[in-house]
Amino acid sequence: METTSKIRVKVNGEITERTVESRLLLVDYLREELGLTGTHVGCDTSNCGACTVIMDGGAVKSCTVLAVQADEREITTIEGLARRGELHVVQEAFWENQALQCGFCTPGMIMAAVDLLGKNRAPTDREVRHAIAGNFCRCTGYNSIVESVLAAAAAIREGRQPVK
Amino acid sequence: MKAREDLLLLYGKGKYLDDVRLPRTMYATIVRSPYAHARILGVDGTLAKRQEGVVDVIDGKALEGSYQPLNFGSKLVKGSMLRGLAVDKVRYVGEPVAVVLTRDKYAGEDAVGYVEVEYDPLPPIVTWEDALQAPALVHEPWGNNIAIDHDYESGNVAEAFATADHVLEETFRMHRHAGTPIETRGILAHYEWTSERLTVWSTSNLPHLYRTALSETLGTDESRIRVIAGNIGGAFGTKTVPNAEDMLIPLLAVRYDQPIKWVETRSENLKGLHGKEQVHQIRVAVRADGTILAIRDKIILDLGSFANRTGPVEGFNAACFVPGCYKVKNYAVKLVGVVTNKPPLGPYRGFGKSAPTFVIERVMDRVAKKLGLDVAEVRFKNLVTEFPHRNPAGAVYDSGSYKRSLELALERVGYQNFRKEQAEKRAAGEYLGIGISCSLDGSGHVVKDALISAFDGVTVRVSRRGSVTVLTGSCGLIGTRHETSFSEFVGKTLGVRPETVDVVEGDTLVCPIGQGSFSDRTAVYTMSAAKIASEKLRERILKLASAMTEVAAEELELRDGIISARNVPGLSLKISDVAEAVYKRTYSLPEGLAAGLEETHYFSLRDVEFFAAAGGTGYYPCFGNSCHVAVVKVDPETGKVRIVRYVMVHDAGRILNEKIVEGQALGGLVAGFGGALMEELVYDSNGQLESGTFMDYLIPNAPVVPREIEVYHLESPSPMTPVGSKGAGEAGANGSYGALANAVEDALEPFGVLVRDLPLKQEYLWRAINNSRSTVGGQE
Repeated sequence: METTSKIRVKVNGEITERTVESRLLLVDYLREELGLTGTHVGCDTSNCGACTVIMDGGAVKSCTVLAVQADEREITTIEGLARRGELHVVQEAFWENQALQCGFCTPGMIMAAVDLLGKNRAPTDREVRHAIAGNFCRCTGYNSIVESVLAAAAAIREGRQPVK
Repeated sequence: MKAREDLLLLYGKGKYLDDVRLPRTMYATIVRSPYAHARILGVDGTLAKRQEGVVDVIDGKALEGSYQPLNFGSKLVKGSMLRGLAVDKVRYVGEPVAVVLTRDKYAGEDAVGYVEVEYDPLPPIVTWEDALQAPALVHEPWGNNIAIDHDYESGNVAEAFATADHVLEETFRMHRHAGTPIETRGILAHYEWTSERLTVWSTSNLPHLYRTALSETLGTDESRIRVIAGNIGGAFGTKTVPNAEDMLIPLLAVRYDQPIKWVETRSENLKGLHGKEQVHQIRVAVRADGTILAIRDKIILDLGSFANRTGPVEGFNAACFVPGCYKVKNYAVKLVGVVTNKPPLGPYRGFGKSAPTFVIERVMDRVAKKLGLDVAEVRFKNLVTEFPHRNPAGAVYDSGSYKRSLELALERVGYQNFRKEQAEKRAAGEYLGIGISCSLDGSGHVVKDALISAFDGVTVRVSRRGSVTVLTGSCGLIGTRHETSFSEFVGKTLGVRPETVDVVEGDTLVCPIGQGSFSDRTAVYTMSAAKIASEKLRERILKLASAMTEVAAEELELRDGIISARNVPGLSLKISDVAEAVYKRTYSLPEGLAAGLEETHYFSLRDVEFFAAAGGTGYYPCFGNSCHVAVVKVDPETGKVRIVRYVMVHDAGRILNEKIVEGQALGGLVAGFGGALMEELVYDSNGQLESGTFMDYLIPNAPVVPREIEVYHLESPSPMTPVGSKGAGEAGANGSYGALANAVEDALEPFGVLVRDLPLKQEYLWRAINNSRSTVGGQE
């Protein structure tokens, strides 16, 4: 016997309403209920960060948030960063600096970076590494990712709008 | 450089296995053995079937007879059956025993605990010592726990030892660890009974090989099986096939007539395919001037519960590559492959290369120390300088820059001044160390008489309106940027702009029969096939253009999709004009020119000489090389290792795209850092995995990777292929363990710590430092 709740979550600017099991993870709400499969699952102990999204302005690991905890809140996923044809400054920096190979960690990595840059416009190398310490990558070796985030920060300081 | 395939992934639109959706899919949740070694007395799914949302529960007995288990035994390797679900016995914690089918993912996890399995535990064989002592047998019919017992000798080994000035002897150990790509494995299988067609989406990067394995196991024609690779979230060897689930899930799809999906959890993944575990008991005969006269090595390889298709290759490769980049002529190796009650061993980046490189590079430092020589000097003394070079294992090194790469690496790291700096820092209580590793980077592995062969296929096709499609047998969807590589390469060779070239991989329905992508083989085989197919097609296009313009083909040029003539200014034909002529007016094509505008080429190597030390089972055509120099700082209070600087000189033959090669090098390096310093699959004496989640199995994250990693490129083109490129994926992982091991021992010299075992985890180093003159190791 399970308990269910009705929740109302704004995702990427769109209000979504569903009745869900109380134990449904936010990542599964996004992926299964809403079909937003850009947010990924890479582990079962909240270490890898592939599921990182932004909830009410702060990065969270959506595998460790229940969908019911997102009731009345605003979520931004990778799909909500930029519209077709435009790239968020972080996405552009990742593209320019080859900060991805298989792309599986990338959405979570980007959301963590967006969160950092929202709070710190001039992070140091060390601060960037710390901000993405909860995002695992097995392909790139991280340095191109760090370079990308620093490049994105520089672009923002020079006046580039996060989304054109 | 902006890679085309990135845009999809940056927007979160990649289609990874779990993103593929079919209506009415059932989820498979697997019941796995909690025992390392036990008889299965019975499986009862009654209680589980009563749970909400459960459609069915199946055990191994129910499946027997409906499929063909696979056996990978051979002359050199004892075989045993790979089943989709275990039947009489379980042989490792995590082995699949039963499966619960539900419509809802969560219901599956709920129900799995209600499946009642009765086990009769048996003594677990956990270490290689257990295996040889054999208080129990992993496979009773064998009579022992030895799957491989293979000897090889070449040269005058006994004489060399007898006349040597010094004989060094030591045992080195590479630990069990795993690739852990961020995306785990998964399969979605759908059987359409009306047309008897099976479609399997899978994370495997060897789709054609998977199709063949399925055909064997299910008894279905390959033409009725379609395997599709979507985007794959990393592989590193862990997504080769087949494994138990790869057989089980498609079998269930046929049985239940509904799509069946299985997505591996990370906990399952850490009990899945493991890598590299082996011990080397090595003896080296040395002349006083530092020349290595002979090597005698006994390799004990821990294969896990059975010898699958690939596990033994870790050992056979190691047997061939212990001589490394050095000139030694006299070599004897004994390879003992044991089975234990742990998950099977499989390929992992640095496959049969990380370990022997670690061993020989430790040996070189030992030799230097014994003789009072500089560690770099000893290497220069012994490095191979002339190519091709046949090593004593029968491997032929095609080309290389061993000496030059060592020179460059030492220069870039500032080796000249290092010892002075080290001495100054030691006086101030800071412990720096430097470690060198010269690494051999074989690519394009071939197995004798097997599906992993020396070829690949490419089709290049021009459509009716002039767009170019390249279909390949490779599978770069794992993140190796094939779309960019092939569109650039075919574009250049054919004479069209890369943006007009579309690349299709990973679908057995439409792609040429290929090998997938692993062992850095795409650069060797697939690129060669692409080159020849593109050249042939270019020739055909120019012949057609010649017929259309009445200008000799030799006078025509095709560039950026436009055909022009050197001596006829104003002549301009678009490739789409040629396509239109070919497809619309085939009836008026000149004599001798066939209709259609495509070429398929299967490129194969011919002069394949399988390596004698591998018992003639394996071969690599090309050998890249890399030289690694690591500078580390070890804190004796905590045992923590910090990589201060790392220089890698990388020679992957002819470079097609430097940024891609560099990305591969860096990725491989960090995988090696993790493997050498952090990662370990720890088993207790009951065969229980203690590091079963990312909480305990620690992989590198951004803060532990130093900014100060420099990669330099050299090019020694391979004479073995038309393109001359060697693979680039493994070099970083091949050489890094040796460099780090050497650097750590160098740093801890004042404490008398000897590095023989990996990993160099903080706690192990701390213990070794605090019991001075002890060796590093977890299994003390």
